[in-house]
Amino acid sequence: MDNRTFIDKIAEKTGRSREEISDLTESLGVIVAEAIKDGDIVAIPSVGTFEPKLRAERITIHPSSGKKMLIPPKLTINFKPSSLLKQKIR
Amino acid sequence: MNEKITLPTLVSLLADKTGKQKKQCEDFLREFFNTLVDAMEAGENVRIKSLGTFKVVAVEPRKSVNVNTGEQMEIPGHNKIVFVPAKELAEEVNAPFAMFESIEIPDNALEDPLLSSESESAAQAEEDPLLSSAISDPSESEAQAEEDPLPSSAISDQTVSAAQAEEGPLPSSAISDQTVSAAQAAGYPEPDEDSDENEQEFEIENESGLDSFPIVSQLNEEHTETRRNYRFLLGFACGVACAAVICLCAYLFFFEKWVATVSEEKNTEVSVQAETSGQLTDADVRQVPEPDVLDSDKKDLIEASDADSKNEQMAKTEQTAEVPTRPSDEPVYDTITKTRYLTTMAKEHYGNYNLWPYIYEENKAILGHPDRIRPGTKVIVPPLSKYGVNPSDPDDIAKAKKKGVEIYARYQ
Repeated sequence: MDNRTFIDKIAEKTGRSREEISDLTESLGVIVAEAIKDGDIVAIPSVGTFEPKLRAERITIHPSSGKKMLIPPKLTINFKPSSLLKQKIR
Repeated sequence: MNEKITLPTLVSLLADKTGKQKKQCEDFLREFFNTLVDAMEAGENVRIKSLGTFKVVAVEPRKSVNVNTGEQMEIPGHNKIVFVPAKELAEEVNAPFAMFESIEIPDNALEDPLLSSESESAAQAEEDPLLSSAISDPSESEAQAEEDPLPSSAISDQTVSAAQAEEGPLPSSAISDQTVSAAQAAGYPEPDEDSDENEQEFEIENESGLDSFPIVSQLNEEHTETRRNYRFLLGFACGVACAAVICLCAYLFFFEKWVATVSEEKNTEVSVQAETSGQLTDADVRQVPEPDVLDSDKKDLIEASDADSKNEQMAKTEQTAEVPTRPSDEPVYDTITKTRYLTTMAKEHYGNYNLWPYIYEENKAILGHPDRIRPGTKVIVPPLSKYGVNPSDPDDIAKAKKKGVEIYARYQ
């Protein structure tokens, strides 16, 4: 399901315009990003949690050139599905 | 920071952001996540532009072992959710580390301890629930790494200054040596002896310098950990000062002995000059007209030279510095003192301190551990021809060194 269908579906269910829902979705993304940037965990009941995770720097070998590379540390978003969701999709 | 944002908080945040009513936002969010869960339940991948993609991925059934019972079991196949954050979101979250780029590492740089320690700290940070510290950690370590070169250069400065300080006493003592000898020997310079004296002085200086090197390395370690360098610097300076005092004492001891022999030589030398060249000093002018006095002077000269030759045989220690290798085969006796070791004897008699094992071998019946010989022990210094050793041959020196190691090995 792509972005457009998803928004259409929500708009249909809530009975509001697509633009409104699109705006809200956009804002939600910004809020989640800001929260995670601050180091907060966004927990949504029965869905799961979005939490920041630090990936440590590491040394890898470049597959084509065969040279050793130092990959810098990185902050990523980790989504941990709730156990309810896990059961549902099983 | 590190808070858990629940649905109500999210609702109010969203309401603030969009300026809509809370109720609308709550409805939206509820419907949003319901739709998401429903779609995933149906096994669909959901792509949300502002967040990312939620994928439902099938996991193959696999065999496993229960770690407690050791029982074989099969984990049935199931679906799992994989979340891939949208590119913009990922970039925004990773903003604190955005300036890093992957670097190519040269092959020889892998042993760098800094790398491993940094990766360790990064791993610790990963385990750390406080992400704030996780974020600040690498920057801190970086800051430390940036600051590191500064103390090290400071250390090198210190060592250099210390080395200068160590070298300091040497030239001054050498100068005092020259001035004193010039004063006492009354214009009889004897450059060979003088340089030899300096060499001895230098050797002692070196030994003390070697002793103090571990202190320097300790200092380095301590310094990088704590920044209280002044205390160590003070201690180091004290150590250097002590070493200098010890060297001075040792030097004075040697010098007294040397002055005694030099003054004797000087007497004979002056009279010889007066005799042979005919150019008379003021002191000799009065003596010249009377032949008897001249005769007595001659006798004196003969006696003095006799005494001198005896002295040369008896106490070869000071004289043989000019003749490092003696052609004569007769053994020489020497006495160990607190400042005369087998090595100093080897240096004087053979011209190379590495040849001390031959003296030791000759006297091994009366000597114990080569480092614990009692002062006052008389040893025989054998001629090198007895062992067929040539002091100018580097192979023989290497053999002697090996022999020394063997001698030390006997006492371990």
